[in-house]
Amino acid sequence: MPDDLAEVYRTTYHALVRFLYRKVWDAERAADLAQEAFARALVHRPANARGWLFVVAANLARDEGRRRLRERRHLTLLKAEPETTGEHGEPEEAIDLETRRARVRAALEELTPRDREVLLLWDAGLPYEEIAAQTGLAPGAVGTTLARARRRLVEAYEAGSEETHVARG
Amino acid sequence: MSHVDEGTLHAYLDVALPPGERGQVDAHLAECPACRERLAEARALIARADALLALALPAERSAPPLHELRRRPMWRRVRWPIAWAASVTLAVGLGWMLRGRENRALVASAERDTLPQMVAMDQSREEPRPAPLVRAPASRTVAPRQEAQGAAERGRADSAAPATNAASGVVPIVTPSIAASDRAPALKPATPAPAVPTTVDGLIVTGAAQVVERGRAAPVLSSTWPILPHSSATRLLGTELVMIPGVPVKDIRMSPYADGVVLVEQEIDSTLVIQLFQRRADAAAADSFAGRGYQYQRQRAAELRRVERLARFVGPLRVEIAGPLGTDSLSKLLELVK
Repeated sequence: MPDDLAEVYRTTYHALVRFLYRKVWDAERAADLAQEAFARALVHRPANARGWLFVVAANLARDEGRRRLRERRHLTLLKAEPETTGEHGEPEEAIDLETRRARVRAALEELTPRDREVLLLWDAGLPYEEIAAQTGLAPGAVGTTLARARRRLVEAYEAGSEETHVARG
Repeated sequence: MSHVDEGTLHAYLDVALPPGERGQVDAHLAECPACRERLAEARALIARADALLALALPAERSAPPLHELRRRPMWRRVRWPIAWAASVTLAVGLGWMLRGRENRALVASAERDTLPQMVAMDQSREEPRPAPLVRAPASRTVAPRQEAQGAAERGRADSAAPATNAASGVVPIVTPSIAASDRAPALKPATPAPAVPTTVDGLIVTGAAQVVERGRAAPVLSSTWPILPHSSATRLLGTELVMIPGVPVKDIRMSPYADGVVLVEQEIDSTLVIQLFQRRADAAAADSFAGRGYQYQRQRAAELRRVERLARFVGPLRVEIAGPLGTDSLSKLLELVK
Protein backbone atom coordinates (compact mmCIF):
# COMPACT_ATOMS: atom_id res chain seq x y z
CA MET A 1 0.00 0.00 0.00
CA PRO A 2 2.66 2.59 0.84
CA ASP A 3 4.35 1.69 -2.40
CA ASP A 4 1.10 2.22 -4.21
CA LEU A 5 0.73 5.66 -2.76
CA ALA A 6 4.33 6.46 -3.56
CA GLU A 7 3.66 5.49 -7.13
CA VAL A 8 0.50 7.57 -7.26
CA TYR A 9 2.45 10.45 -5.79
CA ARG A 10 5.09 10.15 -8.45
CA THR A 11 2.64 9.96 -11.31
CA THR A 12 -0.14 12.19 -10.08
CA TYR A 13 1.34 14.95 -7.97
CA HIS A 14 1.87 17.40 -10.79
CA ALA A 15 -1.51 16.63 -12.30
CA LEU A 16 -3.11 17.32 -8.94
CA VAL A 17 -1.26 20.62 -8.62
CA ARG A 18 -2.40 21.55 -12.10
CA PHE A 19 -5.97 20.62 -11.26
CA LEU A 20 -5.85 22.72 -8.12
CA TYR A 21 -4.10 25.59 -9.80
CA ARG A 22 -7.03 26.05 -12.12
CA LYS A 23 -9.28 26.33 -9.12
CA VAL A 24 -7.28 28.56 -6.82
CA TRP A 25 -5.07 30.28 -9.43
CA ASP A 26 -2.10 30.45 -7.18
CA ALA A 27 0.74 28.04 -7.90
CA GLU A 28 2.08 27.94 -4.39
CA ARG A 29 -1.34 27.50 -2.88
CA ALA A 30 -2.11 24.75 -5.34
CA ALA A 31 1.07 22.94 -4.29
CA ASP A 32 0.15 23.38 -0.62
CA LEU A 33 -3.29 21.90 -1.15
CA ALA A 34 -1.95 19.03 -3.23
CA GLN A 35 0.51 18.19 -0.48
CA GLU A 36 -2.25 18.43 2.07
CA ALA A 37 -4.32 15.97 0.05
CA PHE A 38 -1.42 13.52 -0.09
CA ALA A 39 -0.71 13.95 3.59
CA ARG A 40 -4.31 12.98 4.27
CA ALA A 41 -3.96 10.01 1.94
CA LEU A 42 -1.00 8.88 4.00
CA VAL A 43 -3.29 8.78 6.99
CA HIS A 44 -6.42 7.41 5.38
CA ARG A 45 -4.87 4.95 2.96
CA PRO A 46 -7.75 5.03 0.51
CA ALA A 47 -8.21 2.06 -1.78
CA ASN A 48 -8.47 4.10 -4.95
CA ALA A 49 -5.87 6.65 -4.03
CA ARG A 50 -5.96 8.67 -7.21
CA GLY A 51 -9.71 9.17 -7.33
CA TRP A 52 -9.77 9.82 -3.62
CA LEU A 53 -7.07 12.47 -3.94
CA PHE A 54 -8.99 14.40 -6.55
CA VAL A 55 -12.12 14.34 -4.43
CA VAL A 56 -10.20 15.64 -1.43
CA ALA A 57 -8.40 18.21 -3.55
CA ALA A 58 -11.66 19.47 -5.00
CA ASN A 59 -13.07 19.80 -1.50
CA LEU A 60 -9.99 21.61 -0.25
CA ALA A 61 -10.17 24.00 -3.17
CA ARG A 62 -13.85 24.60 -2.56
CA ASP A 63 -13.32 25.31 1.12
CA GLU A 64 -10.54 27.64 0.15
CA GLY A 65 -12.82 29.44 -2.26
CA ARG A 66 -15.51 29.83 0.35
CA ARG A 67 -13.13 31.17 2.89
CA ARG A 68 -11.74 33.66 0.49
CA LEU A 69 -15.17 34.78 -0.45
CA ARG A 70 -16.06 35.17 3.16
CA GLU A 71 -13.03 37.22 3.78
CA ARG A 72 -13.84 39.33 0.79
CA ARG A 73 -10.34 38.87 -0.33
CA HIS A 74 -11.30 37.13 -3.46
CA LEU A 75 -8.63 37.87 -5.92
CA THR A 76 -9.55 40.00 -8.80
CA LEU A 77 -10.60 37.73 -11.53
CA LEU A 78 -8.62 39.30 -14.24
CA LYS A 79 -5.46 41.20 -14.14
CA ALA A 80 -5.37 44.62 -15.67
CA GLU A 81 -6.62 45.10 -19.15
CA PRO A 82 -4.39 43.49 -21.70
CA GLU A 83 -1.52 45.67 -22.67
CA THR A 84 -2.19 47.54 -25.84
CA THR A 85 1.26 47.42 -27.17
CA GLY A 86 1.95 47.50 -30.84
CA GLU A 87 -0.38 48.08 -33.73
CA HIS A 88 -3.73 46.47 -34.23
CA GLY A 89 -3.79 43.13 -35.90
CA GLU A 90 -0.84 41.88 -33.98
CA PRO A 91 -0.54 38.11 -33.88
CA GLU A 92 -1.77 36.32 -30.83
CA GLU A 93 1.76 35.24 -30.04
CA ALA A 94 2.61 38.83 -29.27
CA ILE A 95 0.05 38.99 -26.49
CA ASP A 96 1.87 38.18 -23.37
CA LEU A 97 1.40 34.89 -21.62
CA GLU A 98 -0.10 36.42 -18.54
CA THR A 99 -2.90 37.95 -20.53
CA ARG A 100 -3.68 34.69 -22.22
CA ARG A 101 -3.63 32.89 -18.92
CA ALA A 102 -6.11 35.39 -17.55
CA ARG A 103 -8.33 34.85 -20.56
CA VAL A 104 -8.24 31.10 -20.13
CA ARG A 105 -9.16 31.58 -16.52
CA ALA A 106 -12.06 33.83 -17.43
CA ALA A 107 -13.19 31.39 -20.08
CA LEU A 108 -13.04 28.47 -17.66
CA GLU A 109 -15.11 30.36 -15.19
CA GLU A 110 -17.82 30.79 -17.75
CA LEU A 111 -18.37 27.05 -17.88
CA THR A 112 -20.93 25.46 -15.64
CA PRO A 113 -19.31 23.99 -12.53
CA ARG A 114 -19.90 20.46 -13.72
CA ASP A 115 -18.58 21.04 -17.22
CA ARG A 116 -15.52 22.70 -15.76
CA GLU A 117 -14.95 19.91 -13.29
CA VAL A 118 -15.17 17.25 -15.97
CA LEU A 119 -12.77 19.14 -18.19
CA LEU A 120 -10.24 19.69 -15.42
CA LEU A 121 -10.43 16.09 -14.28
CA TRP A 122 -9.90 14.90 -17.83
CA ASP A 123 -6.97 17.24 -18.21
CA ALA A 124 -5.54 15.90 -14.97
CA GLY A 125 -5.47 12.48 -16.54
CA LEU A 126 -8.47 10.75 -15.04
CA PRO A 127 -10.23 8.20 -17.24
CA TYR A 128 -13.90 8.53 -18.13
CA GLU A 129 -15.02 6.02 -15.51
CA GLU A 130 -13.38 7.90 -12.69
CA ILE A 131 -14.67 11.21 -13.95
CA ALA A 132 -18.14 9.71 -14.03
CA ALA A 133 -17.76 8.37 -10.51
CA GLN A 134 -16.60 11.72 -9.20
CA THR A 135 -19.10 13.94 -10.86
CA GLY A 136 -22.10 11.65 -10.68
CA LEU A 137 -22.45 11.57 -14.44
CA ALA A 138 -23.40 8.40 -16.27
CA PRO A 139 -20.25 7.01 -17.91
CA GLY A 140 -21.85 7.47 -21.31
CA ALA A 141 -22.43 11.17 -20.61
CA VAL A 142 -18.81 12.06 -20.00
CA GLY A 143 -18.01 12.35 -23.71
CA THR A 144 -20.97 14.63 -24.31
CA THR A 145 -20.10 16.77 -21.32
CA LEU A 146 -16.47 17.01 -22.38
CA ALA A 147 -17.47 17.94 -25.91
CA ARG A 148 -19.66 20.74 -24.61
CA ALA A 149 -17.06 21.92 -22.11
CA ARG A 150 -14.36 22.07 -24.75
CA ARG A 151 -16.54 23.95 -27.19
CA ARG A 152 -17.60 26.46 -24.57
CA LEU A 153 -14.07 26.96 -23.39
CA VAL A 154 -12.87 27.73 -26.89
CA GLU A 155 -15.87 29.95 -27.62
CA ALA A 156 -15.55 31.87 -24.38
CA TYR A 157 -11.84 32.34 -24.91
CA GLU A 158 -12.30 33.62 -28.41
CA ALA A 159 -15.16 35.87 -27.41
CA GLY A 160 -12.88 37.35 -24.76
CA SER A 161 -10.15 37.87 -27.33
CA GLU A 162 -12.53 39.52 -29.78
CA GLU A 163 -13.72 41.89 -27.12
CA THR A 164 -10.16 42.94 -26.58
CA HIS A 165 -9.61 43.49 -30.25
CA VAL A 166 -12.81 45.50 -30.56
CA ALA A 167 -11.84 47.52 -27.55
CA ARG A 168 -8.56 48.32 -29.17
CA GLY A 169 -10.40 49.51 -32.24
CA MET B 1 -25.52 2.48 -37.68
CA SER B 2 -26.85 6.01 -37.54
CA HIS B 3 -24.55 9.02 -37.40
CA VAL B 4 -22.22 9.25 -34.47
CA ASP B 5 -23.09 11.93 -31.94
CA GLU B 6 -20.53 14.46 -30.83
CA GLY B 7 -20.10 13.01 -27.36
CA THR B 8 -19.26 9.64 -28.82
CA LEU B 9 -16.79 11.23 -31.22
CA HIS B 10 -15.02 12.87 -28.30
CA ALA B 11 -15.02 9.63 -26.36
CA TYR B 12 -13.69 7.90 -29.48
CA LEU B 13 -10.85 10.40 -29.77
CA ASP B 14 -10.20 10.23 -26.04
CA VAL B 15 -9.84 6.45 -26.45
CA ALA B 16 -12.53 5.99 -23.85
CA LEU B 17 -15.03 3.85 -25.73
CA PRO B 18 -15.51 0.21 -24.87
CA PRO B 19 -14.00 -1.99 -27.60
CA GLY B 20 -17.36 -3.09 -29.02
CA GLU B 21 -18.64 0.43 -29.41
CA ARG B 22 -15.35 1.59 -30.82
CA GLY B 23 -15.62 -1.05 -33.53
CA GLN B 24 -19.10 0.18 -34.47
CA VAL B 25 -17.87 3.78 -34.72
CA ASP B 26 -14.96 2.66 -36.88
CA ALA B 27 -17.32 0.84 -39.18
CA HIS B 28 -19.61 3.83 -39.51
CA LEU B 29 -16.78 6.28 -40.10
CA ALA B 30 -15.49 4.12 -42.89
CA GLU B 31 -18.64 4.68 -44.88
CA CYS B 32 -19.80 8.15 -43.75
CA PRO B 33 -17.87 11.19 -45.05
CA ALA B 34 -20.05 13.54 -42.99
CA CYS B 35 -19.08 11.82 -39.76
CA ARG B 36 -15.44 11.77 -40.82
CA GLU B 37 -15.63 15.50 -41.27
CA ARG B 38 -17.22 15.92 -37.84
CA LEU B 39 -14.53 13.69 -36.41
CA ALA B 40 -11.90 16.03 -37.82
CA GLU B 41 -13.74 18.98 -36.29
CA ALA B 42 -13.90 17.26 -32.94
CA ARG B 43 -10.20 16.50 -33.16
CA ALA B 44 -9.42 20.14 -33.86
CA LEU B 45 -11.65 21.26 -31.01
CA ILE B 46 -9.92 18.93 -28.57
CA ALA B 47 -6.53 20.13 -29.71
CA ARG B 48 -7.62 23.75 -29.31
CA ALA B 49 -9.07 23.18 -25.83
CA ASP B 50 -5.95 21.32 -24.74
CA ALA B 51 -3.80 24.16 -26.04
CA LEU B 52 -5.85 26.69 -24.09
CA LEU B 53 -5.59 24.68 -20.90
CA ALA B 54 -1.86 24.43 -21.46
CA LEU B 55 -1.73 28.21 -21.23
CA ALA B 56 -2.97 27.97 -17.66
CA LEU B 57 -0.26 25.92 -16.04
CA PRO B 58 1.41 26.60 -12.74
CA ALA B 59 5.16 26.91 -12.75
CA GLU B 60 6.29 23.39 -12.13
CA ARG B 61 8.24 22.83 -8.99
CA SER B 62 9.65 19.66 -7.70
CA ALA B 63 7.52 17.69 -5.32
CA PRO B 64 8.82 17.26 -1.80
CA PRO B 65 9.50 13.66 -0.83
CA LEU B 66 6.28 11.94 0.10
CA HIS B 67 7.50 10.86 3.50
CA GLU B 68 8.12 14.48 4.40
CA LEU B 69 4.45 15.27 4.07
CA ARG B 70 3.67 12.93 6.89
CA ARG B 71 5.76 14.88 9.31
CA ARG B 72 4.56 18.27 8.36
CA PRO B 73 1.84 19.60 10.55
CA MET B 74 -1.21 21.10 9.01
CA TRP B 75 -0.34 24.69 9.43
CA ARG B 76 2.81 24.23 7.45
CA ARG B 77 0.91 23.19 4.45
CA VAL B 78 -2.09 25.39 4.81
CA ARG B 79 -1.18 28.99 4.69
CA TRP B 80 -2.41 31.25 7.37
CA PRO B 81 -5.72 32.80 6.71
CA ILE B 82 -5.47 36.36 5.79
CA ALA B 83 -5.43 38.70 8.71
CA TRP B 84 -8.62 39.97 10.06
CA ALA B 85 -9.80 42.96 8.25
CA ALA B 86 -10.24 45.54 10.89
CA SER B 87 -7.32 46.97 12.60
CA VAL B 88 -8.10 47.31 16.21
CA THR B 89 -6.23 48.41 19.19
CA LEU B 90 -5.18 45.27 20.85
CA ALA B 91 -3.46 44.95 24.07
CA VAL B 92 -2.10 41.87 25.61
CA GLY B 93 -1.93 42.03 29.31
CA LEU B 94 0.46 39.62 30.72
CA GLY B 95 -0.43 40.29 34.29
CA TRP B 96 -2.57 37.21 34.21
CA MET B 97 0.38 35.14 35.07
CA LEU B 98 0.71 36.74 38.43
CA ARG B 99 -2.97 36.85 39.00
CA GLY B 100 -3.68 33.29 38.20
CA ARG B 101 -5.14 31.75 35.14
CA GLU B 102 -8.69 32.41 36.13
CA ASN B 103 -8.20 36.07 36.16
CA ARG B 104 -6.28 36.53 33.05
CA ALA B 105 -7.53 39.01 30.62
CA LEU B 106 -6.35 40.79 27.64
CA VAL B 107 -6.26 44.33 28.63
CA ALA B 108 -6.25 47.35 26.53
CA SER B 109 -4.46 50.40 27.43
CA ALA B 110 -4.21 53.55 25.56
CA GLU B 111 -2.47 56.77 25.22
CA ARG B 112 -4.42 59.59 26.69
CA ASP B 113 -5.63 60.83 23.37
CA THR B 114 -6.71 57.48 22.16
CA LEU B 115 -9.89 55.79 22.91
CA PRO B 116 -8.94 52.54 24.46
CA GLN B 117 -10.44 49.41 23.23
CA MET B 118 -10.67 45.94 24.30
CA VAL B 119 -10.66 43.13 21.95
CA ALA B 120 -12.00 39.79 22.61
CA MET B 121 -10.27 37.13 20.73
CA ASP B 122 -12.73 35.06 18.97
CA GLN B 123 -11.54 31.50 19.03
CA SER B 124 -13.67 30.48 16.16
CA ARG B 125 -11.65 29.20 13.27
CA GLU B 126 -14.46 29.04 10.90
CA GLU B 127 -15.59 32.59 11.05
CA PRO B 128 -12.73 34.85 11.79
CA ARG B 129 -14.12 38.27 11.51
CA PRO B 130 -12.89 41.61 12.55
CA ALA B 131 -13.26 42.12 16.22
CA PRO B 132 -16.90 41.29 16.63
CA LEU B 133 -16.73 41.92 20.30
CA VAL B 134 -15.15 45.28 20.26
CA ARG B 135 -17.50 47.40 22.17
CA ALA B 136 -16.30 50.75 21.06
CA PRO B 137 -15.63 51.97 17.58
CA ALA B 138 -12.10 52.98 16.87
CA SER B 139 -11.97 56.66 16.79
CA ARG B 140 -10.23 59.69 17.98
CA THR B 141 -13.12 61.97 17.40
CA VAL B 142 -15.58 63.19 19.92
CA ALA B 143 -18.76 61.74 18.57
CA PRO B 144 -17.73 58.11 18.57
CA ARG B 145 -16.37 58.63 22.00
CA GLN B 146 -19.89 59.37 23.09
CA GLU B 147 -20.95 56.22 21.38
CA ALA B 148 -18.24 54.38 23.15
CA GLN B 149 -19.48 55.68 26.38
CA GLY B 150 -22.89 54.42 25.49
CA ALA B 151 -21.45 51.12 24.54
CA ALA B 152 -19.61 50.95 27.77
CA GLU B 153 -22.78 51.63 29.65
CA ARG B 154 -24.63 49.03 27.73
CA GLY B 155 -21.77 46.72 28.48
CA ARG B 156 -22.12 47.48 32.12
CA ALA B 157 -25.78 46.73 31.95
CA ASP B 158 -25.49 43.43 30.27
CA SER B 159 -22.20 42.05 31.37
CA ALA B 160 -21.35 43.79 34.56
CA ALA B 161 -18.66 45.74 32.86
CA PRO B 162 -16.91 48.19 35.06
CA ALA B 163 -18.32 51.63 35.42
CA THR B 164 -16.41 54.21 33.58
CA ASN B 165 -16.35 57.81 34.34
CA ALA B 166 -16.36 59.40 30.97
CA ALA B 167 -18.07 62.52 32.21
CA SER B 168 -15.10 63.47 34.28
CA GLY B 169 -12.84 63.11 31.33
CA VAL B 170 -11.37 59.80 32.24
CA VAL B 171 -11.18 57.74 29.17
CA PRO B 172 -13.24 54.68 29.61
CA ILE B 173 -11.73 51.28 29.32
CA VAL B 174 -14.31 49.20 27.69
CA THR B 175 -14.55 45.80 29.07
CA PRO B 176 -15.11 43.02 26.68
CA SER B 177 -17.09 40.00 26.97
CA ILE B 178 -14.53 37.60 25.80
CA ALA B 179 -15.48 34.67 23.77
CA ALA B 180 -14.68 31.68 25.79
CA SER B 181 -13.86 28.51 24.09
CA ASP B 182 -13.72 25.00 25.29
CA ARG B 183 -10.01 25.04 24.80
CA ALA B 184 -9.13 28.07 26.80
CA PRO B 185 -10.28 29.02 30.20
CA ALA B 186 -13.00 31.57 30.15
CA LEU B 187 -11.49 34.98 30.17
CA LYS B 188 -12.94 37.17 32.79
CA PRO B 189 -13.73 40.80 32.28
CA ALA B 190 -10.82 42.98 33.11
CA THR B 191 -10.57 44.68 36.37
CA PRO B 192 -11.93 48.18 36.05
CA ALA B 193 -8.96 50.18 35.04
CA PRO B 194 -8.30 53.87 34.98
CA ALA B 195 -6.95 55.51 31.91
CA VAL B 196 -3.39 54.87 32.89
CA PRO B 197 -3.23 51.16 33.30
CA THR B 198 -1.23 51.15 36.44
CA THR B 199 -3.53 48.76 38.18
CA VAL B 200 -2.75 46.04 35.78
CA ASP B 201 0.29 44.25 36.93
CA GLY B 202 2.65 42.70 34.52
CA LEU B 203 3.38 43.92 31.09
CA ILE B 204 1.10 45.76 28.83
CA VAL B 205 1.47 45.88 25.16
CA THR B 206 -0.42 48.34 23.13
CA GLY B 207 -0.70 48.96 19.52
CA ALA B 208 -2.89 48.49 16.55
CA ALA B 209 -2.80 44.81 15.99
CA GLN B 210 -4.52 42.42 13.77
CA VAL B 211 -5.28 39.11 15.16
CA VAL B 212 -4.29 36.72 12.50
CA GLU B 213 -5.68 33.64 13.98
CA ARG B 214 -5.85 32.03 17.31
CA GLY B 215 -6.08 28.42 18.12
CA ARG B 216 -3.34 27.29 15.85
CA ALA B 217 -0.02 25.96 16.81
CA ALA B 218 3.14 27.85 16.24
CA PRO B 219 3.54 29.23 12.76
CA VAL B 220 6.89 27.75 11.98
CA LEU B 221 7.39 24.07 11.89
CA SER B 222 8.98 23.33 15.21
CA SER B 223 8.14 19.71 15.79
CA THR B 224 11.13 18.72 13.71
CA TRP B 225 13.33 21.05 15.69
CA PRO B 226 15.01 19.04 18.45
CA ILE B 227 14.34 20.15 21.98
CA LEU B 228 17.42 21.40 23.70
CA PRO B 229 18.31 21.83 27.35
CA HIS B 230 18.66 25.43 28.35
CA SER B 231 22.35 25.00 29.10
CA SER B 232 23.07 23.54 25.67
CA ALA B 233 21.21 26.35 23.99
CA THR B 234 23.25 28.87 25.92
CA ARG B 235 26.41 27.09 24.92
CA LEU B 236 25.32 27.01 21.30
CA LEU B 237 24.69 30.71 21.23
CA GLY B 238 27.69 31.52 23.37
CA THR B 239 25.49 33.79 25.42
CA GLU B 240 22.36 33.71 27.49
CA LEU B 241 19.12 33.21 25.62
CA VAL B 242 16.80 36.13 25.26
CA MET B 243 13.09 35.95 25.85
CA ILE B 244 10.05 37.99 26.63
CA PRO B 245 10.14 38.50 30.38
CA GLY B 246 7.25 37.14 32.38
CA VAL B 247 5.98 34.72 29.77
CA PRO B 248 6.35 31.01 30.45
CA VAL B 249 8.79 29.22 28.21
CA LYS B 250 7.19 26.29 26.49
CA ASP B 251 10.35 24.84 25.09
CA ILE B 252 13.74 25.57 23.67
CA ARG B 253 14.65 24.05 20.36
CA MET B 254 17.48 23.95 17.94
CA SER B 255 17.29 24.39 14.22
CA PRO B 256 17.65 21.09 12.37
CA TYR B 257 19.55 22.95 9.66
CA ALA B 258 22.79 23.21 11.58
CA ASP B 259 22.70 26.95 11.22
CA GLY B 260 23.04 27.76 14.87
CA VAL B 261 19.50 29.02 15.27
CA VAL B 262 17.88 28.49 18.63
CA LEU B 263 14.16 28.76 18.98
CA VAL B 264 12.49 29.76 22.22
CA GLU B 265 8.77 29.18 22.27
CA GLN B 266 6.84 31.11 24.84
CA GLU B 267 3.26 30.46 25.65
CA ILE B 268 1.09 33.47 26.32
CA ASP B 269 -1.78 31.08 26.62
CA SER B 270 -2.54 27.61 25.46
CA THR B 271 -3.40 28.76 21.97
CA LEU B 272 -0.99 31.63 21.58
CA VAL B 273 2.63 30.72 21.24
CA ILE B 274 5.26 33.28 20.40
CA GLN B 275 8.45 32.08 18.80
CA LEU B 276 11.79 33.77 19.19
CA PHE B 277 14.43 32.65 16.77
CA GLN B 278 17.86 33.68 17.83
CA ARG B 279 21.28 33.35 16.44
CA ARG B 280 24.66 34.94 16.84
CA ALA B 281 24.54 38.16 14.93
CA ASP B 282 27.94 37.48 13.41
CA ALA B 283 26.67 34.14 12.13
CA ALA B 284 23.56 35.81 10.81
CA ALA B 285 25.64 38.37 8.98
CA ALA B 286 27.74 35.70 7.41
CA ASP B 287 24.72 33.79 6.35
CA SER B 288 24.67 33.48 2.64
CA PHE B 289 23.22 30.03 2.35
CA ALA B 290 26.53 29.16 0.83
CA GLY B 291 27.29 25.52 1.04
CA ARG B 292 23.77 24.59 1.80
CA GLY B 293 21.58 22.49 -0.36
CA TYR B 294 19.07 23.99 -2.69
CA GLN B 295 16.33 22.01 -1.06
CA TYR B 296 17.13 23.51 2.25
CA GLN B 297 17.14 26.96 0.81
CA ARG B 298 13.78 26.53 -0.75
CA GLN B 299 12.24 25.12 2.33
CA ARG B 300 13.67 27.79 4.52
CA ALA B 301 12.59 30.51 2.14
CA ALA B 302 9.08 29.15 2.17
CA GLU B 303 9.00 29.15 5.91
CA LEU B 304 10.23 32.66 6.10
CA ARG B 305 7.83 33.93 3.53
CA ARG B 306 4.76 32.56 5.14
CA VAL B 307 5.21 33.95 8.53
CA GLU B 308 5.15 37.41 9.84
CA ARG B 309 8.71 37.86 10.93
CA LEU B 310 10.35 40.78 12.58
CA ALA B 311 13.89 40.94 13.76
CA ARG B 312 16.14 43.01 15.97
CA PHE B 313 19.52 42.74 17.52
CA VAL B 314 19.77 42.05 21.21
CA GLY B 315 23.34 42.15 22.39
CA PRO B 316 25.29 39.68 20.30
CA LEU B 317 22.14 38.03 19.02
CA ARG B 318 19.87 38.58 16.13
CA VAL B 319 16.35 37.76 17.23
CA GLU B 320 13.36 37.12 15.05
CA ILE B 321 9.87 36.93 16.41
CA ALA B 322 6.94 35.03 15.01
CA GLY B 323 3.50 34.35 16.25
CA PRO B 324 -0.16 34.44 15.37
CA LEU B 325 -0.44 38.14 15.94
CA GLY B 326 -0.31 41.14 13.73
CA THR B 327 2.90 42.92 12.90
CA ASP B 328 2.34 45.63 15.40
CA SER B 329 1.79 43.34 18.35
CA LEU B 330 4.78 41.25 17.40
CA SER B 331 6.83 44.38 17.12
CA LYS B 332 5.79 45.46 20.59
CA LEU B 333 6.59 42.05 21.99
CA LEU B 334 9.93 42.07 20.27
CA GLU B 335 10.76 45.35 21.96
CA LEU B 336 10.29 43.65 25.30
CA VAL B 337 12.75 40.90 24.56
CA LYS B 338 15.73 40.83 26.88
